[in-house]
Amino acid sequence: MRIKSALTLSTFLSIIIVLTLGITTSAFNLQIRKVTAHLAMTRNMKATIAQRSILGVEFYIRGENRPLEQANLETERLESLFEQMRESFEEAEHASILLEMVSTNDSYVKLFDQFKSSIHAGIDKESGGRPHSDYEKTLYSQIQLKSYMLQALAESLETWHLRRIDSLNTWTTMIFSISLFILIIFVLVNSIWISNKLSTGVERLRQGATLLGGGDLTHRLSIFPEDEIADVAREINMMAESLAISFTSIRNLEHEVAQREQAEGEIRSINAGLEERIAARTAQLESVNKELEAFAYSVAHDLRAPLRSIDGFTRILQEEYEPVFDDEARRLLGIIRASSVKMDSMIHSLLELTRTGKSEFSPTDLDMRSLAIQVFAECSDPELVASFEFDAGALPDAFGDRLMMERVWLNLLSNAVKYSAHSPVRRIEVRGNVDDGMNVYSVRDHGAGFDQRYVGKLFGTFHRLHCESEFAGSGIGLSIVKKIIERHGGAVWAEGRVNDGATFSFSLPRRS
Amino acid sequence: MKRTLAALGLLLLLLGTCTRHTPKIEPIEDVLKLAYMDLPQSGIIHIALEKGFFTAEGLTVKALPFAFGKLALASVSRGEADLSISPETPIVFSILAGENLGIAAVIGTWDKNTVIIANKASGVQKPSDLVGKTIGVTRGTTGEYFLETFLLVRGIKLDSVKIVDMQPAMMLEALLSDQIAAAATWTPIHFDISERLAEQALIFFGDDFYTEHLVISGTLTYMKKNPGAMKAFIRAIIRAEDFMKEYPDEAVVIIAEHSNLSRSSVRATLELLRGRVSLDQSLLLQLEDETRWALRLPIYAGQSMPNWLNYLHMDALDSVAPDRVRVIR
Repeated sequence: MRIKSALTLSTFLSIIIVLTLGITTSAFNLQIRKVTAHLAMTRNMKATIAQRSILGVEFYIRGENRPLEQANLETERLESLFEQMRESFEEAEHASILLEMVSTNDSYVKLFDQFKSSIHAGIDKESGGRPHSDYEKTLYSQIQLKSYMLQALAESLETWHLRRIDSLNTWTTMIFSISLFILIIFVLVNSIWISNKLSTGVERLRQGATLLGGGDLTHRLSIFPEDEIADVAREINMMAESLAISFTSIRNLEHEVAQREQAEGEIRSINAGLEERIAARTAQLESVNKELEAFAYSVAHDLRAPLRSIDGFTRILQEEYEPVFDDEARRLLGIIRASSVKMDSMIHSLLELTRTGKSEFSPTDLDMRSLAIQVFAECSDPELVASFEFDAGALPDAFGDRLMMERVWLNLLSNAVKYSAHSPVRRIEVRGNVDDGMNVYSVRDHGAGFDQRYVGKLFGTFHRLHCESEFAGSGIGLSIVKKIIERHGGAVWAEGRVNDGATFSFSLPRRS
Repeated sequence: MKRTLAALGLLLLLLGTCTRHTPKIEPIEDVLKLAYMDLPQSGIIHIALEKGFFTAEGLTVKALPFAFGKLALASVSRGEADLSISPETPIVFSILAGENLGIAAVIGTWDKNTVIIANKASGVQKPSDLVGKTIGVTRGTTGEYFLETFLLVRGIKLDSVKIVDMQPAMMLEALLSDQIAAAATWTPIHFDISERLAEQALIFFGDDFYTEHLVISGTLTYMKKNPGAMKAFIRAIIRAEDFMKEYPDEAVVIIAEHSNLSRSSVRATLELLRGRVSLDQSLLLQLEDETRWALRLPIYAGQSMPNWLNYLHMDALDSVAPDRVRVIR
């Protein structure tokens, strides 16, 4: 049974006991009052009978009317009492006694009337000459006898009522005592029971909590008997279960953290190794690159001397031995000289490219618009340049090497002029803006353009997207631009369409 | 739990202590010889015998039935019985005769038990017609006292009628044969006579001048020597009285079987009886009235009125049911 239910039941039963006690006591009190009222009536009746008897004696002795009248009044009172008692007395035994009393009283009255008549008539006085005749004595004896009988009956009623009151009082006391005793026992037993239940339950909780608190999260508290303690035990069990799950998660997390820390350590270790390797490789690459540049420079430089010899001697042959040679020989000599010139040009460009990587880098603040305008004026044949509309917008200032930047502008603007020379629209637009922390510059023309699919080859060394006979060039200018811009930490890109012009753009980091 | 059981045990112990203790009945060795009139008036004895109330009180009773009270009392006088059930009149005569008798209790009173039944055919139509007539009566019984008191109250001189002594059983025949014009007798004998005389029967009641008492009497010696038996006897007849009140129909059946009478006759007799085991002042008056009457008889000439208080043995009833003793002491 649940403790709350037990307490409710206990309270309810206590109230019932107290109510029963109250109702029973009240009922007994009412009964006692009623019986006491009946007793009072009975005593009144008894007194009336006794007084009438005394008045009868007075009349017997004196023969006066006064005691007779008083006795008659007492008889009337007695008959009235009989009537009242017959209405209010409920016991069958009392009804029988009252009936007997009424009958006896009737006999009394009848005998007394005869006695009175005899006295008044003086029948026997005259005949017998005695104060009372045997007849009167016999009558009076029976009158007295009836009076005693009435007295005895009244006393029996009185005794009954006295006993009844005594019995009711005894019962009231007994019921009150027993009820009180039961109530006390009930409260005691109930208190002990609930106290035991609570202390046992709390002890069970304490032991369980101690075990759980000690770390034994697998321990479960008993949930029997089913009561509030069991509810608490159930909650504690659930809490222990949650705690166990949380502990497991924490342990897993700790394990995971440890693993991660280990992995991070390993990664850091690997990174450190990688950086070292990258630095080593970079150093190696730089060394190789330097060696390659040195080699290229050396080759280019060294190749120029024999090339000049070939060109010189071929020129001598052409000039000195022209008549000797036939046309085919002259044509071939012409090819040799043209190839030598071209090769010299290529070597020159290659040397220039190599120098770009090797030259000293001295950055300074640059007015890019002025620089572009200045370079454009000198980038090609003045007549040709003059035939172009040059539109230079506002360009952000740059921070870079002046010579290198002049070379960038020169290559891009000269290319724009060159590839727009055959175009009906001779217009070149230079624009600049700041985007995402970088200065972005562009050169747009409306010339031959190029196929966007091959844009990747545009900045390669000696790569060309147009025939040399159509547009002369070494094929190394954009490579130099790319190299300079990258050396500044920027980037270069191009967009174009065949016969619809091209836009070459580059970005430079803003000065921090 | 143990404490709970202990508390309940304590409660039961308390309740057990509170319950009324029933005293153990000690059997009484001597057999009580009871002479009683085998009439419905002694119905209380029939009930006590039939229902075993005497035995239940540890008393062995030897019941000696007699036709009427005078005979029953006579058996006590002869020493054949210890107690008797009879009206008060024979006791008056016995005491005046010097017997050492005592009255232990009254078991009932009634006003219309004894009557005068007349045969109209003998010329009796009213009480005064009895003058000059022969009236049968059993001497030494209530019948005799009733007859003479009746005549006195009616103003009829005793010597104006002829009174003959006869047993109750003879009265019917005497009336039918016109030997007597009327008879003074009691219930249920007058029921039989009335039935036989039919419309010729005329009954005169006592007009409340005679209250007959049916009493338990015995030798004072016996009663004083056997207080246990007396108390047991009183207890048993009080139980019988209660039974009669509680089960009146069953009581009528038992009494009818014992007295060999019809149930209607028994019922009619019991209706006249105010059955109550008691001892009160009215008995003294009745005894004195009857003694005063008896003292006029020549055989008791010179004797004075005895103090009837001395012939009341109130100990037994006073001990068993003191509230039933209402004699002024």
